[in-house]
This record gives sequence, C-alpha cells and structure tokens, in this order.
Amino acid sequence: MNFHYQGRDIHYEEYGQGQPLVLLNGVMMSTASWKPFVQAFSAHFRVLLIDLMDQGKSAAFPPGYVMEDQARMVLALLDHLGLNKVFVLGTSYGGALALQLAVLEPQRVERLLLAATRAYTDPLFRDMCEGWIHATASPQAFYTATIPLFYGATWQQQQATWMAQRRELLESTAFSNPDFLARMKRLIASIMDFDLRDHLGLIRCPTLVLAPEEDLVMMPWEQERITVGIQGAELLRLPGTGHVLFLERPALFVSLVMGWFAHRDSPQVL
Amino acid sequence: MSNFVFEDKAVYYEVVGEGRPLMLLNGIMMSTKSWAPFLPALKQAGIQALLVDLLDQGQSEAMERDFPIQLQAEMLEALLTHLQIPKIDIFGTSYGGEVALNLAASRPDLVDRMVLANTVARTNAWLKEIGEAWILAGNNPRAYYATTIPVIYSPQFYDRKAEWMENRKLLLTETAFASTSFQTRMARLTRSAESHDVTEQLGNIPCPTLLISSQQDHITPYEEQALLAEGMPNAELVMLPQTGHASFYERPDLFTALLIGFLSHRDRVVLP
Repeated sequence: MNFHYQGRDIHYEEYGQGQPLVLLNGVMMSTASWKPFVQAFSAHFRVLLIDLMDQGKSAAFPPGYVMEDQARMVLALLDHLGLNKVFVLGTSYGGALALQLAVLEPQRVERLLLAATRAYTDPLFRDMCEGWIHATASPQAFYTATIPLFYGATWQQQQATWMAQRRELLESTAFSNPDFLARMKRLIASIMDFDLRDHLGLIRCPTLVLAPEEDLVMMPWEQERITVGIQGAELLRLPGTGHVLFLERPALFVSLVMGWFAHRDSPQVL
Repeated sequence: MSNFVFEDKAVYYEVVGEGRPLMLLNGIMMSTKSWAPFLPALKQAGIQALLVDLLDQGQSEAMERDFPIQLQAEMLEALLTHLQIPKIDIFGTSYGGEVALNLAASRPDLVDRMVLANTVARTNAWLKEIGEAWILAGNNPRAYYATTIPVIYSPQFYDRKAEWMENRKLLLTETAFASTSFQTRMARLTRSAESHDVTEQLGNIPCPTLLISSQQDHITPYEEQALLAEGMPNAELVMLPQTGHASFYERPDLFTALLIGFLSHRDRVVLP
C-alpha cells in the first residue's frame, strides 16, 4: 500500500489482526527485511511494516530531513490508519525513531521494544556517520566501512562463507547503485544531530532495551543510557551477539518480541 | 495437589491449569508455593504448571539420610512416568535448574524445551565452600540469614526493596530459619548438590534451551552460564544487568516475557 506524504509515496504493508505492532527499520533495512518474522508476529498482532523516507519502495526525499521528520511521517501514517495506541518495535535507526515517536506522542505508544539503538549521537558516532557518508564513494569502501561493524565478531567467525557471499551480493547490487547510496547519505545525515537525552523522561510506557554485547554501532553503554533515562525500563544483554541481533539470533528474537508484547502480565511477587 | 510415592517417600506435587505442561523446579529454599505469583501469567498463556516439591522440600516427606542430586532427577523421571507424560518443558532455577540438567543428561528424550535461570553445570570447589558456610550457619537463624540472603539478592534490589527485605528478615529468622527440621533438610539438600557435575554430558542435551544469567549473581556467576551455553548444542544465553541470583523475583515482568516467549513461540525463522 502507498500513503501520500508531502507529495511523495510512503510504502507500507499490513499483516494480521489484533493490537497494532509497528516495526521500524534499521537504516539499510526495508519492509522486506521483516519477511522471515511476519508469520510469527502477525499470528497475534496487526503488524505494520513501513519503508521510511528514502527506504525500500518509498520515494526518495529531498536532503535535510532529520529524525523528527521521519517521526512526523510515521505519526501521519498512524493517523491515516486510525491507530491511536500502538506497540512499537524499533531496531537501530528504527529504535531511535521509536524513541522520537514516543517523545513526541507518549500517550500513543503503549509498549516499546528497542533493539540495539541509541538516544544520542555522540561525537564518536557522529564521526562514524561522516565516515560512512564518505565511504559511499565506492562499493568496497561502503561495505568495509559499515558491514564489519554491523555483524558481531562471533557471527563473522562462524559464518565466514555466508559473509563472503553477502559481500559479493551487496557490492554488486545495492552498494553499487547510485540511487541507493544517495538515499543512504540522506538517511545517515538525518541521525547525525540526534539527541533525546533530556527528553527520555517523557516516555512512561513499559520499555525493553536489548543490548547486544558485540555491537560496535550502538554500543552497550548507549543501551544503558536509554535504560537509565526511561523510568522502569528493562535492560537485557545478549552475549556473543552483534548489532543485527535479529539476523544473528532470529529464534531468540521472536521469543523476546512475542514474550514482551503478547505476555504482559505483571506477577505480584512483593 | 497430590502425593506420589518414590522409594517410600511421599512427594508433593500440583497440576495447575490446562494446556502444554511445564514442570517448574524450585531453587533450594523454595517450594511449590513460591510460584503462586507466576501462575496467572502461565494460565493466560495456556501453559499447564506442574509444580513439585523436590525430595526434602516443602510438603514432600523428609529424607532420612544424605542423597545425591541425581536422585532428584530419578524421582522426576518416575513422576513423569506416573503422570504418563512422555515429554515435557522444564523451567528450573538454581538448584532446580541443576536437577533439570541431571534429568536432561540422563533422559534427553523426556525434555522438549528448557529454560534455566541462574544454573551451573557443576558444583566446583568454590561453590562447595559456600554450601559448607550455609550448613555451618544452620544452627543460628540470624547467622543463616546473613550467610545466605545477601548473596541471593543484588545490592540494587536491597536498596529498592529495603522495607520488604527487613520484614522478610524478621519473618524468615522467626519461622523457617529457626526450625530444626527445615535446617536439617536444607543441609541435606545443600550436600546433595555437591555431587552435581554434568560438564561432560552437556553435548548430549539437544533440546532448545534458554539460559538466563544475572550480572550480580554471587552464587552461580555469569561465567558458569557462559560455560553451559558453550557446551550445550542448542542453547541461547541472555544476561540481566543489575540483577541478583533470584532473577525471577527481582525482574518478574521481564522474566515472565522471557519464559513464556521462549516456551510459547517456537516459530522457525528461515533467513535468506
């Protein structure tokens, strides 16, 4: 389906019935990335997948937008679909977007799951982003600047053949596609001045933060920053796991997502 | 609530609710009663709870002499036969997790899925000494409290729940910890764990297993759970920061999500 936003098309997909669960993509992801999970999630929820501005089948957008603009687009889409209360799962860039959404309209987000994300682009991450933008100059440079940081060191050792095939595929397709790389530049730029450190207190919904221990993009201490900032937030560390935890540990990811959103009983132990 | 007789001893168990059965195995000081707060969530998820007081626990009959932890696993095997359950999901915490490992090591065919919280593969020399300290403190309720409880809960939990902990201290030191029969049973249970060592058998436990560890666990440290994850072919390891040994008590909401998520959502995910 397409949603018309500021004169451009936003692609979205819906699956299943039940309480709405919005999935927000990482920067290089698209609605297609969630395909392996749609069956499990849509068995219990009305799942909403969105290609954000400059992602997947959505239109290219003029440069200069920031995370808040992505959030306003998502809110407009939720209005359009009549979704007043939603569960939100965001990973990486999509997690930052989930935080931005929840800060703008806290009453709208009923429950949050943040997988490997950040609330603040610190100077280190800002320079990393700038490096990625420079690296769009060649497929090999873009691959080596980004992907080795995205997968955990453990995964890369265990899946060397898969990684090599993936490299070949990415370098010969998306990473050599000027349109894709131009979109990446704008998306990366949109998180470079991101800072919600002073606003996390506005978020009051139950929140689970997943912290992969081998994440070199959204480091474990960024997950701690989020957990400290949101009252009552739960933090779970994932040893031996990298930034793309949903690809590295898909079965665990499904049980965490379903456990967090589908089983919300609060045992009264004390 | 029912009794089942194993080697002349009555073993107390309860079957609660309907659905896919889950056997819950208690930590050393726990009993079937400890699970009450979690039963509504299990019911909601369509899980039938099989609660068991292990040998020398709760309402099960007292033993007369020392026994090895493997006897607990044999008892559970007999109980499952008695209940005509060919294969079951198991949750075990601490001592209960160790019993679960012994059962899964000797009868892997009986176990469908396991969730083990704060569990070790073996009682090493360090843990034996901790057990000895517990046994030595058994004749003095306040000494027993001070020896056992501060290592079970995290410093953060003590700060958060100061009043609750104080009340609990009064209650425990005046009731269970002051009871000679409780202390005799605790000593036997503690000694039974000395023989626990499944390190060589971990590779033969194929069932999908979720391992829950805690950063502030001073009885079954994180590193021991990492050893389990390394040795078991199909295990997933997660870690709760700023949480102590009694993780399911300190983080009940997240614990429930982890347990039920892992047991109820078994979708196979095929990646491109």
